[in-house]
Amino acid sequence: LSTMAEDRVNVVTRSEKLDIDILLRIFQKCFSLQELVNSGSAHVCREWRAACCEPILWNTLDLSHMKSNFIKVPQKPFVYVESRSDENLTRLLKLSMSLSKGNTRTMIVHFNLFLNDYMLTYTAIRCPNLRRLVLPAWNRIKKKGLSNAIQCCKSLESLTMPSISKPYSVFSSIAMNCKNFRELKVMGPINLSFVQVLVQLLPDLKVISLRCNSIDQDALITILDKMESLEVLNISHSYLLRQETIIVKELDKTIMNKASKLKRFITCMERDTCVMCQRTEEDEGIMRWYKYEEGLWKADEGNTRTMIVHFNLFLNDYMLTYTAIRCPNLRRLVLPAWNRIKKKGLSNAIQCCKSLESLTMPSISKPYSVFSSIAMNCKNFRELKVMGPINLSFVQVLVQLLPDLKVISLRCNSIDQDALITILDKMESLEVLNISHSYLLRQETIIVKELDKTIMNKASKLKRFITCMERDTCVMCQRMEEDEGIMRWYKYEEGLWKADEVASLHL
Amino acid sequence: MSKKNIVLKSSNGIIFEVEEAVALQSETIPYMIEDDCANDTIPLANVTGDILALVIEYCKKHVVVADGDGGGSSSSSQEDLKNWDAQFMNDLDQSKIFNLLLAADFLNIKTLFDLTCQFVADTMIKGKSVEEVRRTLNIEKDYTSEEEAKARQENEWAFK
Repeated sequence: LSTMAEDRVNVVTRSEKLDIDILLRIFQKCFSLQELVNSGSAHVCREWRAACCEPILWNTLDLSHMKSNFIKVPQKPFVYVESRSDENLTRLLKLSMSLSKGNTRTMIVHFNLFLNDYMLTYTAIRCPNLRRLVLPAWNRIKKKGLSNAIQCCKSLESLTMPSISKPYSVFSSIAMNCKNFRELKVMGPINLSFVQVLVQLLPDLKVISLRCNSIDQDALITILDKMESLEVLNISHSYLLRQETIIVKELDKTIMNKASKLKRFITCMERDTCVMCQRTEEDEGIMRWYKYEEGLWKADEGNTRTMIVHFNLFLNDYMLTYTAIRCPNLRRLVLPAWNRIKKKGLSNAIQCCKSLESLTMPSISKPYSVFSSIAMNCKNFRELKVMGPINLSFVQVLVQLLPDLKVISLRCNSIDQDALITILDKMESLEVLNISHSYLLRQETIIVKELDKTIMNKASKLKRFITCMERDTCVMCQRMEEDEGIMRWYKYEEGLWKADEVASLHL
Repeated sequence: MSKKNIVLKSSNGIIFEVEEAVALQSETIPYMIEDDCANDTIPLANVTGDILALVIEYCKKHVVVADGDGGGSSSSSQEDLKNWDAQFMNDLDQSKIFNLLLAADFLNIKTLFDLTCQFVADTMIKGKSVEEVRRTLNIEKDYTSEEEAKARQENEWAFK
């Protein structure tokens, strides 16, 4: 490299034009779909047009921020869309399709953007590689229009649709045309007849989400009974109806048994505490999304990466395993209370979470089985926080089984001095160690007032060694000592226990 | 910690000595140091001196804020920094902007690259007619008459 540089030392490279690769990145970063299409950039010159046609710009046709200018009307189709608003949308779709060159994989339409048959067909013909269609409003789309569109999209895998009274023609076109179709999300009340058509025509679905709806109990049971390939079912925040009127308050054993064959059955029926459950009920099973936060309608469950449990919320083995099985992508678990969790339960849970990278745990006397399940199952595990007194035997097991940790936080604990030295000596990959507000114990009783030179020397190889031992001035250090090494977090400010000096551990 | 300095050399041989923290806002430079790309001096073969001076001016302004999350007394407030960024961009001519983009990209300084991209988008492309974009950015129309007609047709239904 250096010779190259020397050769060119007198060559002054300067560009007097906007680099075309950089133009593409400007389009990506700074332009919405509307801005790109309306800017006329595609007509500036050939290079610019080629940049405007780059597949990366068209992978997702995102119309989720665009709404029609409409009023509600009492008869079908229940909306009247201003013609100007239609013209704008038609123009946007036409220009987009002349640039997208069939590269669109995902199309997302806002629930208040009302496409008509013509617009949908026009777009579908030009998106032959469409994998996912999110189209929650079908007011102006007739069965024929939708069937036509689906015939064009043979690669379709996933559809988000409103609940409709006669789904036969839609599901049968999907069944006939889309071999890889696997995922359906329905927004709106789910009744038995809808589900009966579904299980008849699309029995092999893998994923269904019916979140935030009212769901007929028999419809739910029919799905569980008939769809043998189903792996994931999400009914979070929905409520069940029996005989069309009675709200079922809890899932009974029959349903739970039937659902146990699923890989993941995602539920939330917490009307007392969950605001989404309350909203579903207030809106009587037809969520009025327009009332709520922008973009909230696009959320869905099942992708939990982080789970945080209060230090006074005592999960038992069943609860923990149940949750862990359904969070296969969990990266971080914050679980400071294990009073009711047995070693077996925790090992089982860890086996489910192979992507786990970070754990916050209490200090326990026999950590062997936990650390060994982590070592066996979680290849990317890198970060540990322990809440409670740290003694030498705990650390000896730790350094033996998890020698490659990158980050450890032992803040606000009493720490055996030899335990600390063992960590510094044995964990060669360690980058960050936080012992803020902790105090060191020598021979189990003598409080060490300052870190000595040996420790500071050993710690100098770390990227960050975070300490605070200021008993005269720091309130956290004082509390630590008053509580004798087992912080009584409940006495202090709500949420204080979640703080950490290490940014990746701070909640 | 003692302050360590890094020496950068532009394509036309101009030498800049900067504090390590300033230079390390570039995600490319650490690799050049590790590769031992130069003994003491890091040559930047495709950044000229005037552009490198601008990059360094930006990095110096942003170093304190990027470094201390608590915000030391010497660090500017976010608002001040935004105003500074706007003024910094406004003072540049077009040629400098294009080359600053390339330099920020090559040196991988994300905030500078984003700032410059947004400036180009807002002041040179958005809200401008096709003709205006061509004129502003000094671009020649290179369509054949056939392509031109097709484009006009697309424009007709698109921009009526």
